[in-house]
Amino acid sequence: MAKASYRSQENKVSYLFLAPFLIIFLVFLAYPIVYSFFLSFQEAGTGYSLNSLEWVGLKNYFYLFTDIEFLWAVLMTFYYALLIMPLGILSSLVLAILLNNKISFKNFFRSAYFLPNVLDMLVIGIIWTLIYSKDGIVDKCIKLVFDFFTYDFLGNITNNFFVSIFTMFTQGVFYGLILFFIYKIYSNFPMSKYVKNEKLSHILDILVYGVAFVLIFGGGGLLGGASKILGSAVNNGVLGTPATCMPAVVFALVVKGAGFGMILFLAAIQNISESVYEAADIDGCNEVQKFFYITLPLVKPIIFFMAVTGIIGALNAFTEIYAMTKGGPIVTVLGKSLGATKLTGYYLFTKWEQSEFGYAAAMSYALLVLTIVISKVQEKILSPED
Amino acid sequence: MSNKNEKIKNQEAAPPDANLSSAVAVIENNAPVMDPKLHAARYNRIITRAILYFLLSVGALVVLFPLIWMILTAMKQPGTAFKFSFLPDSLSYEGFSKLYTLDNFKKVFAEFNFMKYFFNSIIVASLAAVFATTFACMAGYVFAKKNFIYKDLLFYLLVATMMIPGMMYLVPQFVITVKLGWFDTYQGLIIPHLANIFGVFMMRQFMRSIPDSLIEAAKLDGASEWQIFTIIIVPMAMPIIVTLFLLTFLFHWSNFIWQLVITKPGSAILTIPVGLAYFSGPHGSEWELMMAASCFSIIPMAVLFLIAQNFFIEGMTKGAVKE
Repeated sequence: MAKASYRSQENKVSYLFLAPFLIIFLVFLAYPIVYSFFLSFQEAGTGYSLNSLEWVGLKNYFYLFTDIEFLWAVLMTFYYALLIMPLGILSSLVLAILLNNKISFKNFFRSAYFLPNVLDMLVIGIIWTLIYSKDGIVDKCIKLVFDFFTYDFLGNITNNFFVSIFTMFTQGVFYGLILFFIYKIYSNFPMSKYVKNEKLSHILDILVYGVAFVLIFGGGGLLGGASKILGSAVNNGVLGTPATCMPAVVFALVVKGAGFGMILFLAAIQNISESVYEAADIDGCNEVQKFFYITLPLVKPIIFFMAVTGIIGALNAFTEIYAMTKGGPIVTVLGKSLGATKLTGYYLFTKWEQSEFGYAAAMSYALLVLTIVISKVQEKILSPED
Repeated sequence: MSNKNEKIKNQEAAPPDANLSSAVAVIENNAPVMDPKLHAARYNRIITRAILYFLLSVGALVVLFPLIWMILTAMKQPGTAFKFSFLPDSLSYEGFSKLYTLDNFKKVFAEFNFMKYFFNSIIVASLAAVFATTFACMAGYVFAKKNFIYKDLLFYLLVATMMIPGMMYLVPQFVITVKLGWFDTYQGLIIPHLANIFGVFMMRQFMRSIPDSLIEAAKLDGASEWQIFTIIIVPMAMPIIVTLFLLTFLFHWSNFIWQLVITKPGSAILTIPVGLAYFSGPHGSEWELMMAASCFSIIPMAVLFLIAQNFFIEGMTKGAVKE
């Protein structure tokens, strides 16, 4: 009897302590998930206000899977995640390895790299918008490169002799090096290896070499494409060019977040016992081997963690897009104009803006399922076996 | 066996540490000629260190570049954001004032509402941090030290909720808050984000290490449950409380999307990021003003970080790996 009253007393006290947290948790975190489920079967009727919600059954979900904009947003989110995960992991790992040496000012570098993590994403995004904007510092640098490669050296040879000659020769070195590398790579795989007929193998050689040449130097080739992109970036700014906007946004985020992963990697690397490396030294491993056979396997859990958070971060990405591109620039795919950086998070927000609450709720549920599926798949692929 | 011996021999035959040999060279003053191999090794080490420091500095420069650029642009004369001349003609007051000015900061404060936004941000972030930390602290204590009905169920519910991506809450939280009549109010800004599950786990983790005997002793001395919590638990958990306070402050300082959706444009309770977002509409090309306004969000957080960096770094990263 006494025990029962003690337990009920304990329950009462516990729930009194829990009450403030629990009430807010239930109202604003648990209930929304349930409410969102009901909301996803409704639609804002006349006036798009919250008071005019009507039941529409599965309409939102049917619409979701035929909505090209949504599918495009999912695709772009994967593109974004595939850019940011490897770059983020690589940059953090490089910083951690650099910082893992015995150096002075270690704490200064550690703080400097970590500092951007605590700063407001929106404000950082706006600062990067300035850096990337037309006539901004990045744009100026691209313009220098672009001007260099499009310099009319024959036309200017009389009035600007030295500049023309200098440009001509440096460009000559650049193109010459590319040619040289094609030749070097190709000379390892001559067609005579695979084709017995000598004449035919020569013809094939010419063909392959020519195709490689066209792919790089031709009007629609790599260099031509690059110059087109650079030209567009000069005219519209980096964030206004479809091909460069996503890498630019990703770069800004990688720079902001690198310090976080660095601390994780640093802790993991410092946990590796010195004796393991010494044993490797005695066995005659070089630094590269030590990295691939000792360090990398032991930091694998961190890589897994960063991959998971990377994909969740991509599905949550909103503020950086709002600050830098607002979903733009517009690209035309299959006759539809779509935003090149309109990720799912931002698309959800635009649906909120248009008061399509039911559709946004349905989208949230689809994204939740997607998140769960992806993290399960990642777990299968990447999880450390222990 | 012979192989092992050979290895040991090799080890002994290996050149001693470069520093040591140079010390020996100094002592044997009559032998100034260094072994050329050692000389090369030492030379290589200097080169490696130089490259290392160079890479570290480049990294720091890239990472801090947005901050540097923000401060430089914020101090520029109006309309010169895209003129990249940073060094004055002469090192005099006139030389500097031709390029730089502090008027942008004044203007942002006096003509636009950034003073108000700044204080709103401080009010929202500190109130939210105080309440969220207190609530998480109380809940964490109960989860760590008490047994109560439905404890496991509740715990799994918390774990499951933590997995849900934040964007999913945007619409339902908004609708619920509006239906409560909290649209465009401080309550609306603060209360929906006070339940910090991550904070509860952090607290629970820490408080489990507080010995039960302390609590028992206090109970025998006749302390009430609340006294046990405030006199024993809270002081012992102070480091983790400070960490959680800073983290929640940081979260609410930059909780842009919620602050954007729950306030009206031009409202009196806008916070800095939202104020800046609306400001960038009509004044998007006045980069000097935008950057001056940005400073009021960035610099306080940077200073706070420099003061309490270990709390920030530990709090943000430790929780991440433990999950």
